[in-house]
Amino acid sequence: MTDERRTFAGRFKVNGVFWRQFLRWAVLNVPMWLEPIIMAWWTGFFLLWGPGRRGVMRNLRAILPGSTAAGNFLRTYRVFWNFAWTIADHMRFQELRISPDWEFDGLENFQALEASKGGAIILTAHMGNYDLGAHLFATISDRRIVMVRAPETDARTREWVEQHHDRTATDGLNINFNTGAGELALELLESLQRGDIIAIQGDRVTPGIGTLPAKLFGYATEVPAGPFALAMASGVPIFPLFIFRRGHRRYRLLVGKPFEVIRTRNRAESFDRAVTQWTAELERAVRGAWFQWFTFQPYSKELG
Amino acid sequence: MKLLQGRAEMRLLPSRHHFALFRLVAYLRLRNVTISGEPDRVLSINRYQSAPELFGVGWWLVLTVACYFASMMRALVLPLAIALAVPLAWIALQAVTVLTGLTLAPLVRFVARRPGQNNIRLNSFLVMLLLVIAASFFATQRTWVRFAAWQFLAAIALNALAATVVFFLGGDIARLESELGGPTSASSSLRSR
Repeated sequence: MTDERRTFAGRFKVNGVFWRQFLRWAVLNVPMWLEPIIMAWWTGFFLLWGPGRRGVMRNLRAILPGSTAAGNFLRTYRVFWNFAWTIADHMRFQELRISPDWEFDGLENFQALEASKGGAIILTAHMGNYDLGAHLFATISDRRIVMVRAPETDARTREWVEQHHDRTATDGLNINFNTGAGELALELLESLQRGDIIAIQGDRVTPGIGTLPAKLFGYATEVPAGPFALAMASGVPIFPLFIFRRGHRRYRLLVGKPFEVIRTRNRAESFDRAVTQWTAELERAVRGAWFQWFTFQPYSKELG
Repeated sequence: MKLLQGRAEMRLLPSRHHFALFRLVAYLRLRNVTISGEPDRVLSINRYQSAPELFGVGWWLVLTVACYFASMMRALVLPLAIALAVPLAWIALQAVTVLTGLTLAPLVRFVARRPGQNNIRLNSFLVMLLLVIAASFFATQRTWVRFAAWQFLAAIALNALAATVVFFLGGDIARLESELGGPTSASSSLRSR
């Protein structure tokens, strides 16, 4: 009985399945002209989520040196506000196929990515609407894109999200849930050799996956080793790509200059060079748009 | 899904607005806009793309309903009543939406034998209908709240008038949108799935 109760209550935890189902219901039922006021209310409600709020505030302390706790509390509202809109926009796209507006930065890099014949890796971050960006790319491009996502931590949420993805899939977009180190590696390598584009998030590690040491805003952290190892093994370029929310249903897609992970005798040095290039891009993106870096845990143990 | 390549000025396309009043204003503004240069963005064509419209209407409704609540708190001084009424109205609008979404919308669908999950239009109509009923009640009061109710009813009437004008201007609006590469111009559509 106790277990059943705990299981039922688990639905309502912040990562529980109830909130995903509720979001879907809201997207299909709420009049659009009430959406802004509902967003404002629920953003305030989720500020009660202590671990997430504190995680964002600690990260902000590192991103914006000299910032005060009170200031960062208000900034956290802005982070949560943007997160609420991005997940709602993504859900709306999945359910109703309503896309937002898109602007492009680094169009020449985007065109190079689209025109390249071989495979490529898109390295992105938990910023803006990375999910929707992948859908857009699959919609306007003839290239096949494989998106690698970290699985949800809650089992019921994971099951629901995977089923929902299958039901609302976009042609040309394949989503894989990275459930363990090396599990997907061979499959992804084959995809790259076939000429597919792999999109991976490179700013957060989940338990069980390989990591590389890095520095971000002066603090030690770790980034996933997978994208760099794949780039080295397949010889394909890495394109840093960020998707920023610019306003109501408006996003900007920024594609950075590609770089390669050149295989040398010293593998560690090759990785180190590539990771430094990536973190420089990531820092630039996060510094300019701290209000939409959706990392709800301290990104460095030194901040914890 | 309808996407088209365009310039920032094309955000004024009437098709990107929901209420007739805003569609009409967008059309009038668009007539005086010159759009030149290569397309630099991808624009989505749907009725819910206008931020000023959706944010404006949302907060206007909160404030209107807050007036109704404030008028009922006769024991409190007006500033305090309004301060309490705003969050109350904010919650009430959400509660009404959830209630209609969970009860009336499925009922209407069942009676009309039209199964489906997208209840946005139906719920919009039901919530607006409840707001009109509430405004009709408060408009008959003898206190200051009648002004809040009447401005709501006046806005609804104005929107209905705009809908009539937009209906008769339909051909002109479609032509203008088409010239700008809008939704009636199939060739300009980036991709429609």
